[in-house]
Amino acid sequence: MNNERQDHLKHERIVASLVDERELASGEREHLSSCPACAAARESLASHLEGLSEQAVRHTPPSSMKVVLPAEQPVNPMAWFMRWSMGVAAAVATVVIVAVFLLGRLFPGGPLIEDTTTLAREASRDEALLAEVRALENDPLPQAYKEIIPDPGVSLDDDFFDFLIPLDANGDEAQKT
Amino acid sequence: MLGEGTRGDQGGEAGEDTSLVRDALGGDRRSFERLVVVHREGIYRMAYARMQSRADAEDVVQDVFLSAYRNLPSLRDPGLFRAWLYRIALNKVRDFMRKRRLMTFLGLAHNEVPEDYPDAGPDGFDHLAARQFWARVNDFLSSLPALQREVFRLRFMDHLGIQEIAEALGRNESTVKTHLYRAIEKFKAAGPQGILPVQEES
Repeated sequence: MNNERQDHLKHERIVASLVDERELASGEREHLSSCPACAAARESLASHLEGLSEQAVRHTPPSSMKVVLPAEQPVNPMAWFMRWSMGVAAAVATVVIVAVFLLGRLFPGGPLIEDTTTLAREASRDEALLAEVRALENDPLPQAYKEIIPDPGVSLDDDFFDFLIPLDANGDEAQKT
Repeated sequence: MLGEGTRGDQGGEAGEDTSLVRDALGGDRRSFERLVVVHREGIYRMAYARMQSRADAEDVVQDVFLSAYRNLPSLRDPGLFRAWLYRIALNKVRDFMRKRRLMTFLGLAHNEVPEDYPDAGPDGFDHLAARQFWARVNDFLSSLPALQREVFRLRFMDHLGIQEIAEALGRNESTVKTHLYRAIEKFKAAGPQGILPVQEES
């Protein structure tokens, strides 16, 4: 009774045909090409999707911009190699500079040693600094500070403690909680 | 047109692309300029559909072709130039949108579409109708998960084939088909008449 209707492609198969027609089996493809109802169902959905595409074009404002390409040489397959070579050269140069510096530190008698006049000047500055350190060891405070500190001979007596920790009426120490 | 093949609606352009890409790789600047002429409009439309700002879309187009020009030697298969170009464009659009969001968060830019829309511009372009159309399209697309949305756009707005979409998104074709299938189902369920404007009889 409803044989013709049962033979129609299911909705999912019609959608699948819009995704990729090769998704359909050969029998389904034949049915689609011979069945007006299934073809119309597919055509309806397809036309809506195409309508969306056309409307998107229509509702995109025109642009007359010009793409500007760099003025340098056109794409060169060796360009990346050249960039890498420059990087490697810079790294090697850095390593050489560090190595020379370290060698100079490890072997101060080498060609990097400075002249005797400079060394004598630095030795004199070191001596002056050590003399200043020794003087501070013996007498660390400047004269200005000595004038405001108490006589070192004065001891901390009871009056000073009373000032720090007042006595209560009974003459006892105030309760500390 | 729909459902035909997997390399999109590009037709003979794919062969022309391959030849131009090879020449450009050989140092022929004019060949690359020809590639720009062939694809500039498509990339502009693609960017505009996602950003809805002419100025931003034009900036993206410039960035895309500059990037393609500099990185052309990294393209393995010249036959997939268009997919590769769209992949660059998708990344540029995403970077641009992130930057816009950050600027908005910092209060340095407006979140809304930055263009002022008169009803009709001097070029005869109907800005009001365009705004209404994109608002409906955005409403529908925002109801889709991100991958379905991108697959749907690339197929029906940018006219890429299944293989090209797979290349552009870095997914396999089976995944692309699955997401495309679900997106079409939702498009049908949403009622295309609600998305597409009524055609004017003339």
